Amino acid sequence: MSEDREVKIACKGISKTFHVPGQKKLLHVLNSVSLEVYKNEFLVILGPGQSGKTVLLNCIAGLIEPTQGSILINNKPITGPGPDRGMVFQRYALFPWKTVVQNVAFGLTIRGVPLKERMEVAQHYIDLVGLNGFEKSYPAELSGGMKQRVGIARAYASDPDILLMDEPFGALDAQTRYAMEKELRLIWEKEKRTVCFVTNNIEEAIYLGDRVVIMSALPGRIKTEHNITIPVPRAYTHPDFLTLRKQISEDTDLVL
Amino acid sequence: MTADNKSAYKAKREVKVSVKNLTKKYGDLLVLDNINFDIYKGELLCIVGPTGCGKTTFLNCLSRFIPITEGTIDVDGVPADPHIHNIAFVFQEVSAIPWLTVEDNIRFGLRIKRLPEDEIEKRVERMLDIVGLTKYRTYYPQQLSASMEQRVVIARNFAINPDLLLMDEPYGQLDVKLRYYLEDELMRIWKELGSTVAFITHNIEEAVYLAERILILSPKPSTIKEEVIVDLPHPRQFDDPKFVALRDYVTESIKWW
Repeated sequence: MSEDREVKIACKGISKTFHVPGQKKLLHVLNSVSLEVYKNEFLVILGPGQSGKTVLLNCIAGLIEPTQGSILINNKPITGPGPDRGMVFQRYALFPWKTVVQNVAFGLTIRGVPLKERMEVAQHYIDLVGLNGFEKSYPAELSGGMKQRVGIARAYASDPDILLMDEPFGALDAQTRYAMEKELRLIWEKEKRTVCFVTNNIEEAIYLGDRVVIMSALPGRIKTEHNITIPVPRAYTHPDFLTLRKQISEDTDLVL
Repeated sequence: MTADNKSAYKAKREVKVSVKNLTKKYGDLLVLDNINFDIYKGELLCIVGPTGCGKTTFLNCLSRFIPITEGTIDVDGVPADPHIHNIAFVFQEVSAIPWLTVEDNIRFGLRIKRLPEDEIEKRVERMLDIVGLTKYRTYYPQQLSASMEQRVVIARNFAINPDLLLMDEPYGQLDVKLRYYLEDELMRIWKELGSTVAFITHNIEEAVYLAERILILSPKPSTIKEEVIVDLPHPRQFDDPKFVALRDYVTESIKWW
């Protein structure tokens, strides 16, 4: 476990309710969620298909406002999105008309970082995610796994304190997913940041996480959490991994 | 995985679909290279391969959606023919017909086959019951969750008693706990109806969970690299040492990551 117990993200009593057009009843998505995320921790938020985990992440990202509750980042309340939080999305969200290097450097470009410097930074992260040689490629020329590596490099390139990842491997096939999980863990070991990673995949949660927080079905609340003490690199079919997986599976709700 | 094991498996089975010398080229690009295999009547066969091995091309050839460059596909000993045979297909993307209710979706294929009305109603009731969607029968697909919609598609396909049901990673985008639930449901439907199913997936654990037999494809140009009999009783447990050994074996066979 990390010795950095400095609290980076503090969510207190987060509730979120939506009005659904055409329906009288309100949709309660989050129900008083309280969560702390520590510096340089790889935290995984695990839950079934509909548990409000993306909504929670979007609240932390400052993209939506909770109906109730507060979120402090570095002890300061958030007022919206910010460069301190980089995001990686499930469907990549890359600019199709920009090359890999232009996509990766985008956050720096809009902050007015000079060209030479932002190209150096972008190159560093392109190398880190293993896309050396693809700088001038366009997203349409890349596989799903490669596109997501661009997403990760882009998130890192703005030098955020915190990386928020919303089921980044959910659109990939099972094997590419394994490959990306291995890559991500290696990247993170080299350049640690505080990570909040959302997934519905139990194997992925155990493979990647230092700690796994399990959310219930709607309205989402935190059911339980597990500290993952299996030494890295972890093996999916190791008996300890399988035992933990069975336990966590029992703690997870089934949502049809 | 021994030769005895395979011949014992095949000895008591009748060949339903026979694929010989299946070759597919796109221009000069050879994707499938001289693939030969049989699918047995009532079998649940899983086909796995490394990412990019041409599995979608393979399926499209089997279902006759695309023309094949060389080779033959026979069903019950005669060339596969859409006028005689039913090869049903469950896609990765959910494809419930949006303007039909759940029960009308299930009726759809049966009506096209021009079955008598009372037989149609019997099958619709049965399928609704098997997939547990009876109380949702008048709902439209947009009112259902993705997994429920996928089950409607599966019910629709099984209802016509196809000669061969092809399934292309139908549970790909769903969460893992739900996947297991739906895989169990698939097993129930399959056992009850005795359908011949070829299930294609990149997920090796899913293949070991479901299959009686697994065909392992090589990277492009694809051939059949290996055939593995899964001789484990149901229900299978992902933490059972025998299950794990088989999963590891198949994983090693295709691992590229």
